[in-house]
Amino acid sequence: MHYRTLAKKSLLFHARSYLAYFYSCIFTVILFYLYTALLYHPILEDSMVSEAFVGLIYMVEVIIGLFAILFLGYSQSAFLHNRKKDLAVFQVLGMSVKQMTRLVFWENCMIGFISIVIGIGLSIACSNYFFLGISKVLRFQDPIVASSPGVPALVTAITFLFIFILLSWWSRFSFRKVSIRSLFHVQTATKKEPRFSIWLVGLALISIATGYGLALSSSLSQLAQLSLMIGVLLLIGTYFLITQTSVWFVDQMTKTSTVQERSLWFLFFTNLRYRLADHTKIIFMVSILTSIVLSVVGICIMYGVESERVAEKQAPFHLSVIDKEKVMNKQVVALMNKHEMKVKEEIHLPILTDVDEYSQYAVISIQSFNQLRKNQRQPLLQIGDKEAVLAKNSGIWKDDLQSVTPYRYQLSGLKQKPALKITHELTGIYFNEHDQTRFLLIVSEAQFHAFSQQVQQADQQVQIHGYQFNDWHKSKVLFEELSDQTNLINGTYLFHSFLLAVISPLTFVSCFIGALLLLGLGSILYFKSFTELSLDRNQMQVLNKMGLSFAEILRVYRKQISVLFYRPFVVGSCHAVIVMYAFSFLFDQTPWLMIGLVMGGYLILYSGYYKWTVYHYRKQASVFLT
Amino acid sequence: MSVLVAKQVTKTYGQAGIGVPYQALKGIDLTVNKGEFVGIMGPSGSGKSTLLQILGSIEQATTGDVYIQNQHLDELTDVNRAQFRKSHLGFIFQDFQLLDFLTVEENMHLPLALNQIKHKDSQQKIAKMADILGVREILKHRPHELSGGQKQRVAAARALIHTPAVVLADEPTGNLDSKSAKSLMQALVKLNQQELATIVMVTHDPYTASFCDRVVVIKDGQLFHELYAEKERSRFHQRIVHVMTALGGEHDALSYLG
Repeated sequence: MHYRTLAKKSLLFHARSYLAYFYSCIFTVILFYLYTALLYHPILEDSMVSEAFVGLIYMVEVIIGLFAILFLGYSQSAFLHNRKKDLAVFQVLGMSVKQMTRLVFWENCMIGFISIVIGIGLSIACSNYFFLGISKVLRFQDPIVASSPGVPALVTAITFLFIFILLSWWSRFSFRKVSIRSLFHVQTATKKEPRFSIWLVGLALISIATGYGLALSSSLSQLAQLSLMIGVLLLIGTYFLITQTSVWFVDQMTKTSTVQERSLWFLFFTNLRYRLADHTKIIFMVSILTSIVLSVVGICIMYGVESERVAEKQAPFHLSVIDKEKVMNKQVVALMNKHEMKVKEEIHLPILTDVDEYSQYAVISIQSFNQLRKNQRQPLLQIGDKEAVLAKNSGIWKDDLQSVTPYRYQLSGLKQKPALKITHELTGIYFNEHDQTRFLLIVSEAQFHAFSQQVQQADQQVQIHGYQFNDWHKSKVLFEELSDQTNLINGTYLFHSFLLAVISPLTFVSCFIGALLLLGLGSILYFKSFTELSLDRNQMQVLNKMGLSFAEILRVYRKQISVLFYRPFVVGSCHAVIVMYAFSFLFDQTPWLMIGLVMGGYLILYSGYYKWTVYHYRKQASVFLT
Repeated sequence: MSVLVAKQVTKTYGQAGIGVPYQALKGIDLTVNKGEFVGIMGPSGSGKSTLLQILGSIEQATTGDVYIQNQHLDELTDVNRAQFRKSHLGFIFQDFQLLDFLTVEENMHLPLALNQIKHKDSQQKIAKMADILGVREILKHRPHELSGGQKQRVAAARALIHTPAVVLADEPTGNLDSKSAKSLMQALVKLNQQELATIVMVTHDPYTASFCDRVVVIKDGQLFHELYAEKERSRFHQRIVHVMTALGGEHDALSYLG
């Protein structure tokens, strides 16, 4: 009997537990092929495709490759663990580690070969749809046509062959852990049960509360800086919270009289206690993956769908111009008349900029600034004669007014270089964000006039114009024509285009990666259930002999699988909701409906996997019990 | 001619400085001749399974020497040890340990395939062994379709099919009813006598042990007693029962042995 025959027989026998692995392999190959086909497509040489997008595709390719190694590696080690007895028998019959590695290599090759062939075949068949999607994302008028599949197919085949060889080689380390001693009639080591510790609960709660607190109170700029710290805090908190609450809850439940009086619940909780150490690890891993998938996909979809609302919030004026020579307004009005743009509201205000073009501070009078506040339907601001307020006008900060310890700021662009006493800081969006309007020093009317007399150069006195149209979607043509004359323009349409250019590829990519991870973690849970099924076999038979029906026994084990599936979903969802909430400050109101829809969609797919696992588990279990 | 020789074998678990070291074997000497059927008996924790694992090259002795067909087991590298097990040893376990994804015939064929025996010879050996052990009718069946007794006979066939120097059996009748146990033991005796198979068997059951040529009794990791078979198996059985009873604390029973 050759290793090939042995591998084939083993694969056929374990076909059901290999099924999820096999589908995930095919899906991974499909994704890898499609992105490789895109990387080798002549369209990328075209200057129409941005370098950032190409970079994103490379990143996705690397993520899929890494995922393939980790996921296939995990699956392989789960299978080998499941077949510990078989491996010990092979060793006792005199198979060396080298020979067993060869056996696993043949198994991997068989699964790998079929997955690669089916995966590449399906990819070629659906690559036109993929390229159609890419064309939409990149807003090409003519859809991209799939190029020759030869090179991408070869690259995919070689990459996955390499991964399968690497994993086969890696399997030798698992063999060394397999002990033939387990075959002999000697007592085996009992599983170490995790213990409850109030200190660890405290640590978990403090970590999660701090992580959530930081995420909810930070602005976009702070979130970027604190993301690593928040991530570590949530990881620590989640791990200990899962282990400790599991230990405490299961312990309490097994002691309650209600549970002890009901045989099925009693069996369920005692079984859960027995598998606690194994379960908590996998629940932790799946929770973290779930929160990553839900957060990333949720944020992208949220911004993709609500992009117009975000653009209206972040660029409240549909067209804004920074006018240094005070000639732009006439040209803009002429253009608006030409294109029959109806103006709903307009605003024209003076500001004083610094002589140093790198300085981002500009001075605005309280009267002018209050016009902006009025436009935003916000209460008017009042300041004293000698005071100044610094307005940070950008979406990366939350809307806020806070008093600060008074400090002095010296205006460098004026002849006398006066020092302003800043008593308050204001954050939020008041006017479209330009370099000249990002930091506005609000001063009293009298001071503004005094400073206007002291400017060193005439072009420091700048006029800012803001227009709001009946329909900003039609303003594209204005930007196209104005961009030839000045680059000091901004507006809702421009911001919306920028947002789509960033979000669309990210959404497209994150949905693929999300689906890949969902499939991966679903498969991990599927293997876990099947690994346990072989261990549960004896228990099931004993319970059956004790008088429990097949349906009753299955109910106990189905509950166990539901804990394995839905507990990480609940934990992951909590994290994802907080992350989505933290990232939703660019909106006027948190889009709860959108967050709910993302979670609901995910839950439906996830439940599909759960149902599938339970169906196969039931089918397999019925073999032992009937 | 001796096939297996163990000299002053000791086994200590636990390293110095880490926990309390436990000495499972305290200088065991054992010689098994070709074609001999030796039983190892003793109470739980006496070290009989440990001794079997050392004889099977699965555990290494802390001190002492073990030779099988003049090969010192400690001198074998990992690769050579696997090679040695493949050609010189056969194992029978209490839990059968058949491979579920192979049929009975394929389970029997596996050791031959690993030893690269030609197909024609393999088929002859499988047919012969199937006849001796009475499993010819179930050759195409899968292990989960068999009774415990049938499974253990298949396991015995797998252990003996490549004519190893020694077959090591760990409580082979532990999971069988008395009828299946008797049938298995008769088959092993037949193989021992017809094929001159050398068998070393660990058991705690005096009836099973009564099929052996010789029974070695171990207590607290040391050789406690040695019994040789008599013409009448029932008398040999009785003597084994008495030794085991004596081991249980009733030392007066030893006076019966003379």
